[in-house]
Amino acid sequence: MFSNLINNDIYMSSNDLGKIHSSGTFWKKVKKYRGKILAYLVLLCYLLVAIFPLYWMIITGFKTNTEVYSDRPTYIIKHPTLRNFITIFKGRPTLYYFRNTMVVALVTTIICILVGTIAAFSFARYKYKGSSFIMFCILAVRIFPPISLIVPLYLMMSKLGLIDNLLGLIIVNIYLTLPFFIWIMKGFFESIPKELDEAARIDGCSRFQAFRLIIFPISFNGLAAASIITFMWTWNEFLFGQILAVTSAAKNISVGAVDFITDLNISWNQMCAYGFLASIPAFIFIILFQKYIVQGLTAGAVKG
Amino acid sequence: MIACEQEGGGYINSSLSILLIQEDHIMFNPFISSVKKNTNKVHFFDRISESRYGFLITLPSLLILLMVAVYPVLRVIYMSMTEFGITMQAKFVGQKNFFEIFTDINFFRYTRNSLIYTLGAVAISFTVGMIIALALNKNLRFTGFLRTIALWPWAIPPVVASITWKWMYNDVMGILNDLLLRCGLISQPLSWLSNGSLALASLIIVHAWIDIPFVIVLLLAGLKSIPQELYEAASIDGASNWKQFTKVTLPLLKPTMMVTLLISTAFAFRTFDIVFTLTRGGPGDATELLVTYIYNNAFQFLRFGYSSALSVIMVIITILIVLFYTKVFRTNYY
Repeated sequence: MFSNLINNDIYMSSNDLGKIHSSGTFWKKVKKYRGKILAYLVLLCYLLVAIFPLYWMIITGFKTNTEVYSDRPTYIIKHPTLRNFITIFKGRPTLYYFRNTMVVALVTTIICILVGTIAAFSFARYKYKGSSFIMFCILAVRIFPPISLIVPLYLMMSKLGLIDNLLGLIIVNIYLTLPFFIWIMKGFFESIPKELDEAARIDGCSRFQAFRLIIFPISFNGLAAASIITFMWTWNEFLFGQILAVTSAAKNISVGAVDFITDLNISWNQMCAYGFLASIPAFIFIILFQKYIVQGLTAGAVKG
Repeated sequence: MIACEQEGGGYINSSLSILLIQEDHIMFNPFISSVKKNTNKVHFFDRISESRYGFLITLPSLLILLMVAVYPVLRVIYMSMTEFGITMQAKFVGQKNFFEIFTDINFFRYTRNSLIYTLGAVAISFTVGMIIALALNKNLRFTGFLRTIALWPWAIPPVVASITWKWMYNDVMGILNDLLLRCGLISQPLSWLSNGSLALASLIIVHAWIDIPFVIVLLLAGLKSIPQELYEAASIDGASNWKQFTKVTLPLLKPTMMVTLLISTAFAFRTFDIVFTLTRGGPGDATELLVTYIYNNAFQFLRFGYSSALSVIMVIITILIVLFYTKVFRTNYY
């Protein structure tokens, strides 16, 4: 009855304590959301810095010679052309480079899967005298920088006659990636409960059958993570490709790219077209398998 | 019920096998009409003890790594004490190579370049990566899409990234000079890769650009493992944002930070692709690093013994780096 006399503006009820008045002036709104606005700005800046070089590489690959070497660089292509892509395949052994890299990456990943999963399973499940020492040795291989082993590996491959041979590259890439592969898989196997293989053994499987038929299909997640990272690392590998490959019979994509630079006439648009083709697998992997890549990278790191 | 084929052929049912074992001497079993004779053969992998089996299945990996990793390591250590040149004859000389290293002024200059490169790259990539990871942790709208795109610099081959940056760093036609000139930040085009003092900084920028996504991935995973209730409790207790960061986030992030810094530092110290593609040693030898010194000694000067000795020094420095990080970031491993 007397509600119109009560002045509700003056008094704050207990409901109002802690409530940010979202209805307010513009600057009050900015103050409330300032954390998120800052975060958006930071991310936008980083995105520009991260993506602009890639954008630049891609559009340079589509530019004509006159546009590339003109006085003022053009940020949007005036006359796009596909000529660069045709040239890099006609005049150079680019196709061989792609074939070599694909073969080496595939075979290395397959061998790592075949040999590494069962070894990781053994380290996760069976503890025998010396197993932790062997595990430590395998991990210690990663501490040695690959550059420090270029001399003995080169001499060894040369004695075996595997210089300029895809098999030599495969062997060296297995050395580079197998320890990390085993480490990731070991982490994933440790998360699979032991009761599973015990149940398989009770039902009559031998030990190896229990692994092959039961555990291996379950570990698909970890397997995908480890093998995708192995494939990507082998695809991006440069040092041993440079050392062990002499002709286009065994050269890598990265080595082929560096060969471009030492050519008589550096043609930047052709190089960028080549670079764009070489990074297409990376684009595909990132878009399709991002979850697995992140899983694999953080598997050993965050669990500690 | 999992059915496994046994070696004698036919499927085993445990109760049936017991019956057959007991009645083995009976030629004709009236209760079971057609049953194959159980040979009682146990699979080879079950006959050996568990630890022998565990060792046996690691054997393929072990053999591969023994041949391709352990043997070269031993060979490097041996060759570091020999003089091994064009003649391809190894002559054992003991510590002569190491004495030569410590009187070689170039070794100290190039190692100093390596350390500057490593420290600079790690500092930039870690701080920027931390900021971006904190921003991505806020669960904004496009974080999934942003995480995908932000991973690209790390996923493409480092050589391809270096070629792109080499083109951007170009004095005359490079886009970087053009952008800076248009913004008015510089008055004359900078020679990024031909200027001795600027070249190393340019390399550091490229390395940080490539390394930041990796740092983001690791730090973001670590940040997500911190429970949200801690932040809520801290804000109820009246902690400002900065205090929350220093007292809640940083201590709990320590293990992840250690791993990230360790991998980042090791990667920066040993990376070869970027230097080789961009400057190959730089104007003169302004960007010669320890890695390129090892490479040049091996494949340009053909001094395999000296190169191996440098490699041993590099491994020792790497081990020192690992020890440094594990001591400084000593945490209770739970």
